[in-house]
Amino acid sequence: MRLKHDKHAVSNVIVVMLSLILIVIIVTNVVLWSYQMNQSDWERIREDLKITEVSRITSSWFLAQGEYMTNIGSKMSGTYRDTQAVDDHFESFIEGLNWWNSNYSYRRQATIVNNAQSLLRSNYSVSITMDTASLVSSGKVLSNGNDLRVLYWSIGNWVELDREVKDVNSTSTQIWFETQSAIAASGSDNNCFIYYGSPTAGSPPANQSNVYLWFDDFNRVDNADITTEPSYNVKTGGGTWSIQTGMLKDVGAAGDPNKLMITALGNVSSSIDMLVKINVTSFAGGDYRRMGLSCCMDTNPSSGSGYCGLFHDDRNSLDLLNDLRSWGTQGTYGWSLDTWYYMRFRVIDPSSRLGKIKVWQVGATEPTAWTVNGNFGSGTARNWGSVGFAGSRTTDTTYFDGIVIRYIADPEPTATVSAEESQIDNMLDVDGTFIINLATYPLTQIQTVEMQMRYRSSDIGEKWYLKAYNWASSMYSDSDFNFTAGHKPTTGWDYYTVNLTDQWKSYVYSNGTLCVKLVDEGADANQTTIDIDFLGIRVVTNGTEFTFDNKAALTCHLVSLWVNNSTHHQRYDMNLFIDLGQTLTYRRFDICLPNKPYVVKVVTERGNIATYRGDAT
Amino acid sequence: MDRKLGKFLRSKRAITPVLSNLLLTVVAVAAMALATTATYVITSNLRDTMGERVIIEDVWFNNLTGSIDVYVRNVGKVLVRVSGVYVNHTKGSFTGAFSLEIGEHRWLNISKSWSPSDLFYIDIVTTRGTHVGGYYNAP
Repeated sequence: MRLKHDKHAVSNVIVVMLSLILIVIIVTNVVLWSYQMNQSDWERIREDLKITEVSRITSSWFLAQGEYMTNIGSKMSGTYRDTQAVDDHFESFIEGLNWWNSNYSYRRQATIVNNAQSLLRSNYSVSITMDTASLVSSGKVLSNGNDLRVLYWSIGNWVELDREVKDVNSTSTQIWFETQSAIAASGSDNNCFIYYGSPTAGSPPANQSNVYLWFDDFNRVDNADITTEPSYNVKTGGGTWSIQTGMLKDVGAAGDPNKLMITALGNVSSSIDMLVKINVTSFAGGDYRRMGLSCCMDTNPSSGSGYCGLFHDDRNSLDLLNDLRSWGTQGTYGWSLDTWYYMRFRVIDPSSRLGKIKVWQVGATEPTAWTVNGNFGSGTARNWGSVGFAGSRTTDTTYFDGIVIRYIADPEPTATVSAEESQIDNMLDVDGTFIINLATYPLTQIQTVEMQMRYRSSDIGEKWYLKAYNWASSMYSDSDFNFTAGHKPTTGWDYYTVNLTDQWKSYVYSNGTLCVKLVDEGADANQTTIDIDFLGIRVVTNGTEFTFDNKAALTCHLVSLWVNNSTHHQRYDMNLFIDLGQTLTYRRFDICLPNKPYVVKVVTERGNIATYRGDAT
Repeated sequence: MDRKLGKFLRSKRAITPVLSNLLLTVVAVAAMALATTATYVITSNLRDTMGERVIIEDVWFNNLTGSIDVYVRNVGKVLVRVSGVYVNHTKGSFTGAFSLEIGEHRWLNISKSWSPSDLFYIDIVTTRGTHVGGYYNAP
């Protein structure tokens, strides 16, 4: 009542009430804050996140888009489409050698290795050395060598090559032929085969013009002037060049230089080896007496000038000459009149002014060392040019025969033959081509490539190998793979997977092509069949794939990712929400998993940490 | 009007109630302001302390530096200031006090030699007294 009448007390009450309200608001705010933090803690406790899988990112399988090529053996049933999925459909192959001619019982595979650091051109003359004496004595090769044949496997077809067989029925028979394709630096070609074992073999293809860059035995009707022939229509100097009784004859005369050019070869712009039989029947002696071989010929200072390897001056000399510029190294070799000699002349690099020449009597063994291995003197170096014969500047008479010119690489390639294969041997060799989608998986992101096959074999005792074409060495190989021991099948379906390791770049072409070869362990008596249910390749990228499983009834916000190993702890920012109950795959191309063991951790915004251990085993 | 003002000035009884009421009002306002401010200050500190949440994301026994590197993250709702580190309950030397905004994270390098298989109890302390820590085994 008093308060009612005390109007001044009202204001004080209002002040107190307002203050109390403020205090209540402040305290309420704290209480609400406390509730909020408790709720946050409660949510943190309820989070249940797991990392269920961590792996490098792999692509889906890239499959064969065309029929497999059967190099050895044959296809029985099915198509390449049956190898595109793991199902009840498969393609079947059966072993058997891809044999050229059933009249020939045996063969050996030749491997030509380019030992140079540059491309070895095709049509390069190579020789294979074989012991035919033992083959003749065992009745496998005819004593005349007619059944020694050289075959080239070219894009699914056999091509029989011309060859020259030297010293048949000896322990070191040389079989010469030309390569059919270029061979990359340090690469090899194993598509050549030496077939033999045909008692009824007729005359073989042996056109030496198809074996060497140039061959001429001059076995044709006499011709008083060989320059009437298109292949030799340029001579220089005053001598005469004729064909007489199957030989090239030169009678010298005044003129410098006296040359006969093999105009059919034109300008020879590669290193060559020249070999000819030479016989000097009259030789007066003196500086103008010079005969032999010449290359790098041009018109400077006069037509026919070039590098020469010559009998010169007396019958004890073998000299190098740069025509009309300088005499080079003068060697010593005692030679006789009316005697046939082999003369080999070689210039590898004209700019170096270096040359080699060797001479040995026909019937003798070619010496290993060069008689003269020197230079062409101080005269200006020459460039590539014409090749041919050099004749005397006086009336000396020289006969030439059987000239052989071939390209020469430095170092020369080597050619070897593998073990003998019999026509009744059973093998399988199947090639397939696969293309990686580089638009999705750029080469820069690929870490490795895997090949996988699902198959069954009728012979559980024989291993199978998956190989790939190595574009650097130009041959199929598995030497860089993680597993090179092959796969031995069981009685049912088997998976066989190989990884190309970090050497995959040698096997994947710049357009993503990977050529795969399936081969068996080797020739045997069992004619095995193999059913291929699936064959494919896939890429493993540098990125990493994480699988998260959120079992809680809360959405998780992932903010940090850790990849730790014994030497390094690496943190990555992330911003990923995973809905309640969701399993989510997360890919990161900037994360490359270290070698095991490692630990992966992921941190949520609420502060929980899930871990995954990648153990070494 | 002039008559009313003159009456007020001559009335000695009116002064005392006015002064008393005024004084009472001032006292009431001052007291409540003090109470409100005190409440605000006290609850603000309480609120900040309640809102602190710090986690250790990673502990790296670093072979390269020989130190123990701890990665901390502020998962709370207020700015925190890390002021101390205790290793096995002994004050440890580290890179220096630092603040972490909400959601911020960074390395904290503790200068402490270690050997493989050593067990450490690492305790990170904030200026408001929040502790975060645990046992960690050197690899």
